[in-house]
Amino acid sequence: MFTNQEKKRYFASSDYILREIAGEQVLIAVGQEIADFCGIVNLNRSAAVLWKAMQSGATLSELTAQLLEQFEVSEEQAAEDAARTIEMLAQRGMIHDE
Amino acid sequence: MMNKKRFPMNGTFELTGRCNLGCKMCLVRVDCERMKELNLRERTAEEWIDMAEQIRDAGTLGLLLTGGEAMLRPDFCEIYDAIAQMGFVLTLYTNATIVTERVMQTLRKRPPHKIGVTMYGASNETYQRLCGCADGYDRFVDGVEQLSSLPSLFETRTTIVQDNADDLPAMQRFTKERFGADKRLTISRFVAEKIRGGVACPKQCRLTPERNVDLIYPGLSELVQKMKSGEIPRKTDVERLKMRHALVPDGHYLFEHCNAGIDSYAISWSGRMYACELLNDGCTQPFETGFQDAWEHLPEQYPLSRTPEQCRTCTYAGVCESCPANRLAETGDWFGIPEYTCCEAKYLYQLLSEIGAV
Repeated sequence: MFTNQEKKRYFASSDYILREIAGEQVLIAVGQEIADFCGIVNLNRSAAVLWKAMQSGATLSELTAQLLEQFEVSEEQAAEDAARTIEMLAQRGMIHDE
Repeated sequence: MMNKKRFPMNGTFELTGRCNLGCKMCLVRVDCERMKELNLRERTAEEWIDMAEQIRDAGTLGLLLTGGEAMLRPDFCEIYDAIAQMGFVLTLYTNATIVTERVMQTLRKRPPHKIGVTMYGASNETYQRLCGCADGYDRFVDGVEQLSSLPSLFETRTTIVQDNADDLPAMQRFTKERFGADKRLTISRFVAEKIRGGVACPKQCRLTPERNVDLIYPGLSELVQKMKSGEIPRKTDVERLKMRHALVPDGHYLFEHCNAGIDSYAISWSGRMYACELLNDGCTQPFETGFQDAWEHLPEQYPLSRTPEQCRTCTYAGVCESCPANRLAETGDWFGIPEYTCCEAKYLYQLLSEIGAV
């Protein structure tokens, strides 16, 4: 049985565009948040994977699965990374959940 | 010989060469008649949007939208709206005198990261005299009022020539009062000869080289006068200024010192790509060959670097601010001697010499 937390789907804000610039994954603010972060957020590889998954919406377990598929990490570590990234992005208003 | 790795990080789109103002010192402004004479046309909204997609795919991060006056285009909103969704760090340059509600609605949706507004005077009289626009100042103030409601970073810029030099203190006051005591008015360093078929006459209305140096280095000539009159004692322990050498090694890529064409490019209103927006010559055709091809072949359009003989032995070379674009605009020759810039360098060197800094 799913808890409410597990059923939540996280969505990347359309006010940020993910781009690859000179081999780096960066989020560029294109909405009202342009004044923050100087308009740019540099993402590490795992955060970029999570962001791409959240562009069409993903649950915490789906995000964890994405990390497990693309990186050699334990399930526990993947879940922890996904949760931490979600928390960080949510605090900054860069994702929302439904 | 290209010694640096190239990447098209920053681009400029000059969306139009036309402008609603008729500033006497504009380097690039053209009118419809001149465009016909040049047998050139502005690029369509569809073409600019397609070009923006190409530069996005090539990895460009920073994009400057400028003109002429970009807001003069009836399809400015259409172009801006499409480009703003592509994920560039956007800068918009404008004279802020034709900011309509439709433009504001478009900019509010996805504001540019930075807006640079150009201020030409501190009264309608100055705008009339310099730009041929009787209510230009009122329009500017209204435009700034609207644009500054956006979350964008704001920069106030100006070009100082004979007709607006007396307004400078009031323009600086405006900037501080409107945007904060820590903000300053950015003054364009060069007022060079017009380029790419421009219709204005910048050479005829610019300040003398000496007055221009006084403007760019405020307080320096006053300091010299005070030292000469004994009001301030002469010091013997003044730190020597590090000479910025205008001399570049021969046989290198022409713009190796400033990175034009190495990490940046500009596409003119007619669709030509230049290493720097101040260039008059040496371009590729991105709308014809595609961005990537135009970018790759850009360095081939320029001669290799070479220091003119006269500059090699010049006493003032260490403070000279001439560059290939400046030489070309002023003399028509990549390696010409731009007399105005030489006079600036000589005067600056003399001032620095008086205070013992060179």
